Amino acid sequence: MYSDKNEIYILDDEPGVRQSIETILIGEGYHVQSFATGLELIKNLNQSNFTPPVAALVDLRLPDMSGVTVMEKIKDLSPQTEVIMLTGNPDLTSAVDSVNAGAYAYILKPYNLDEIKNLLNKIFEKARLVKENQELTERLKKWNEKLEEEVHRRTVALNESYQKLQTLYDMRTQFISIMSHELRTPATAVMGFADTLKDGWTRLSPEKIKQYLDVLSLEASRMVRLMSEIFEISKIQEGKLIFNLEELNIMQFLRETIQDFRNRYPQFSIGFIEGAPVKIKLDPVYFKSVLSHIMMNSIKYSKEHLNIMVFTEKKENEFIIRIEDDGPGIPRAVREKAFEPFFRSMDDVNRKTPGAGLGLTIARGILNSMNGTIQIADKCSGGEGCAVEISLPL
Amino acid sequence: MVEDKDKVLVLVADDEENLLLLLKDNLEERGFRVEVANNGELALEMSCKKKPDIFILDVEMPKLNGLEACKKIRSTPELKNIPILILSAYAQPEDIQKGLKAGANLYMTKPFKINELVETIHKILHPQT
Repeated sequence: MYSDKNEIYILDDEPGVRQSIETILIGEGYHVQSFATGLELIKNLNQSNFTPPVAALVDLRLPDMSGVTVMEKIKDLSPQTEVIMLTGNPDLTSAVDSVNAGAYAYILKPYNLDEIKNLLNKIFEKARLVKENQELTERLKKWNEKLEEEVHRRTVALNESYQKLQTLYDMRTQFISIMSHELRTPATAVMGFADTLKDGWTRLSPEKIKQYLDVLSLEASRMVRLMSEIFEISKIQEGKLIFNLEELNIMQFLRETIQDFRNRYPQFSIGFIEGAPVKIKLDPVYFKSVLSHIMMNSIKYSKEHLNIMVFTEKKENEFIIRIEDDGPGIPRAVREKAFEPFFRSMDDVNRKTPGAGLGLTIARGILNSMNGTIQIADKCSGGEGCAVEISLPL
Repeated sequence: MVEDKDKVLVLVADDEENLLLLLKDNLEERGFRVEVANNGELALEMSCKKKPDIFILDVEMPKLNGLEACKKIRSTPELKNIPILILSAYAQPEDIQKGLKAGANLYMTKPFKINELVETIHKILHPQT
């Protein structure tokens, strides 16, 4: 690399020549080092703190060695240094040879100082351009490296989102496939019994007609319920639930909701101990639907008698609601799976229950959208049954 | 009057009670004898006591699903020649492939027309006509 010092070497055995050039060049702002012999210059080149000169003015004829030899030494250590040969008329041939050997130019004695200054200007201009070029190349290289890094980073990110999309796509495909199955099932009953009634209207007994119409009505409601649940899930998945949040006294809200259930299902016992009032911001309609999905699960999966118990606990940052029943419960291994769409545990009791297995998916979707959580836990008593734990932020 | 023992015995397995009611009433009306089971395991137990002339199996059933039931039937010497019709709400080409691979003679998708189902049963029982 060139120093910023405008370093120039002068090598001439004639002190007069040396000094006059030196004085002029220092006056021009150059930093000049003068040498009387080739050895002296070479010794300087070999010093550890040697600063490569931008240019060297070298006398072709030296007492100790040829100027070409000195040039070669300089070029060995600093290929960028340009050498100007100084020579008298008799040496013209060797001066031309020296240019062929790598000298930048030659100057005939007696020297024209303007010519020297001109040559040096050109050399420094060239050096400046070389340096600028190197800096630009370096910057380009760095940019390229940064660009490559960025491209790599983006490629990794792109691959990750592709994988995520693929998983979502697979889930969606599976969802649609099961959804189609779940819709076809009640549709089969609706179509089948409608045809049966149409063909057998005159010969069927009134009891049979009533039975078939009941099934038709039930299966048609099942289809409608399934479609509205699917719509609800797609709203949750698209983040399109719109809440009307109200500051609710959760204790009063639970009491009223539970009373509503007691009225609708008087055959089941639902216990609730009301605690001190706690205010929580909730959407009452959606939160009631969450409680309804959970309690409907308890009721659907129960045998004839069922006890539901609702506990609450106020913690520092959260409010916990536990809904426990003494029904068949959900095995630990499938408790998380129970929140996946269309999950129903595959035993005889559950298969007879109505519903497509979307209740817990919807409940979790709604709660998560309200920054709450829901999970299936062990019962406090450790007994048989299901415990659903809801946590709401305070 | 056809004697009860001369009627074709159809064993239907499906976990949907209303589907069992639909098939039982309609097939009996058309001169079949019908036995019903609400899962694959029960269907196999019943078929060992009273060999049916044809099975109609749903795919998604508790305990033993329709595909597993198919394979069991095909590997049970006294049942393996009984024709099987799968009747399922799974309607994708790959579902049908799975059913036929498991050993079913035919795969029908739900919903279906009763008359088409009856025609299909006749076709399976009398392939030459």
